[in-house]
Amino acid sequence: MASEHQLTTGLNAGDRLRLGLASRTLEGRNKILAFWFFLGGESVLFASLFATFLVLRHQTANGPTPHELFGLGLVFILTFLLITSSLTSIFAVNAMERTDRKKTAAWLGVTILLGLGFLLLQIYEFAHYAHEGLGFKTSAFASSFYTLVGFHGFHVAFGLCWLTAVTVQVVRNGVTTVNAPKVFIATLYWHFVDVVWMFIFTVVYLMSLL
Amino acid sequence: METKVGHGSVQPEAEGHRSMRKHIISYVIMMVISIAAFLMVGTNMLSPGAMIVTLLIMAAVLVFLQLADFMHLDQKGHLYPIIFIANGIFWGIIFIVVIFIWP
Repeated sequence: MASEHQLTTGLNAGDRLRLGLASRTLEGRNKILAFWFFLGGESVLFASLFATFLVLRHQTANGPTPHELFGLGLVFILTFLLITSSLTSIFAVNAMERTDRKKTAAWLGVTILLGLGFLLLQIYEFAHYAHEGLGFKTSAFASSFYTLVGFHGFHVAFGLCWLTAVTVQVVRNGVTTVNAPKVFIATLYWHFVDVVWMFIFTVVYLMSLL
Repeated sequence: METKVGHGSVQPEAEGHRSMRKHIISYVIMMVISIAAFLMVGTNMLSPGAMIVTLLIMAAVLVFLQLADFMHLDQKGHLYPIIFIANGIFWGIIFIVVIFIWP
């Protein structure tokens, strides 16, 4: 298998430079580099959605306004869940460095649970807003809000699937130089999702309530 | 010298306890700033204008901490990631400002 050959070539240099486990193989390093490319692109995507929301946020037509809808308590819980899950994903990467299969899987599991809590709470939130009369087409504010925050929620859902798949692989095969880049990159994605949320809760929720 | 290895796309050195403490400190700071932001808005502490500026600064700090600490951008060998993210932020700011002031 091609990656095994690269495993041999990459290992010595990686060892010498004391790189992290995910960077020991050429394949791993390539994957990490490619993923940073991807994150740059994702930043631009979310920037467009943010720009759209910023422009349209006052056009509430005859529908509900942010003041009538947003609850700070719920948004704070969402924020807390996501930031904490970012921290636990770091613990998972640490465990991976120590090739501790159980701890890696355990911390990934905690991360997934916290993320799931976020997702379920967000779904409840959207259902509540819809019940209050904020449909997708109710107003320009509604459309841009649901698109931006919904897109983020979709990223959370996708990230959860990804983390789950990686966790299963770690449980089955242990921590290897093949698994390590996967764990590292999946948690990198998760941190990015958290970064986007930091902007969302500031710009969308907090600033709309001023 | 091995020049092909590890430049710009590596996961950093295996972490020790010192680094772990840094992560926890960052986390605590992030939670404190988040709580402060929510409290400020909830209690209407500042005027809207001042509030927007403060909130944006807080968000920038949060994002910076997340990028620098959690994503290891403060460690060596991360020139490429920094370039890519900076590029994303650059275009992001341009998009937002232009669409905002478009007549």
